[in-house]
Amino acid sequence: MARVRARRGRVVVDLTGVEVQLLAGLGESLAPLLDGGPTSGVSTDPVRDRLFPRAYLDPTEEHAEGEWQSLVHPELVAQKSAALATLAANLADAGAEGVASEQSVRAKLTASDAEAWIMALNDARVVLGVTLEITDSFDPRTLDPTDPTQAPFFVYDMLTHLQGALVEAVSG
Amino acid sequence: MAPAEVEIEELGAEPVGEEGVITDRPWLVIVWNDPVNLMTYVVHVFQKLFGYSKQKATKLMLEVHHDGKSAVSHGTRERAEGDVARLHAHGLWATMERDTP
Repeated sequence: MARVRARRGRVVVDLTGVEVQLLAGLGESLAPLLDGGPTSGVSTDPVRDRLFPRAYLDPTEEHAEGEWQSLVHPELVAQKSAALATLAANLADAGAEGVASEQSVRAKLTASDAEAWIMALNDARVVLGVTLEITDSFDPRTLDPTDPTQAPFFVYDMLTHLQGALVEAVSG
Repeated sequence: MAPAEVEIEELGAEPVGEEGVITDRPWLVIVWNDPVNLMTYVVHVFQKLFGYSKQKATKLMLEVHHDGKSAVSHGTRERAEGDVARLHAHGLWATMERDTP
């Protein structure tokens, strides 16, 4: 599991090769959701709806909702894409390219980089959370590592652990 | 001379002042509970976006967690729209609604 600590104004993150490979793939897996198209009024994709929720629940505010979406949606896409790009750049700088599963990688992040990681990880977890139907009663200790169908839950748990550790490091 | 602001109590009506300035009744920003968001992360976001103390941010987070939702800020429609956008940028599930008097 990843180890994160704040050290002399930097956030030092030690990752296993497996974790690096997973993180490196996040940008690609989230890309289809960040294609810039705003959500329509009709809910057809629960993942997209959770990543880009409505601001107004009141059906009499459809006009305001539409205006808000056209203004805000492109900004959200840009911010989320930027966070993923920072994650990818930091990993590349740390020599993550082509790293083997059993190797480890150390990334030294600025506070700003760490915030980007936190946001990118949250987006990845939100998306996975909808797909996996994660509830408040989800307990990673009940997972079975020998069951390949549970692999996505292990990914979710790894991302959770890393995000939590980063939040703790920047909250100091 | 007519008062600068005329409040109309009908639901949905926007009061229009003397110079045509639209004044809203206050809007509330609601954050909803979500099984994905870490409690520590929610506290962090409330502190970061609203400048709340850790104590206040924690209190609001616990309200979200236990009550299913909490009103985390209030203000004009424009201010609330900005707050919701910022909360969504941080992956929290937030909506806005008119404050009831």
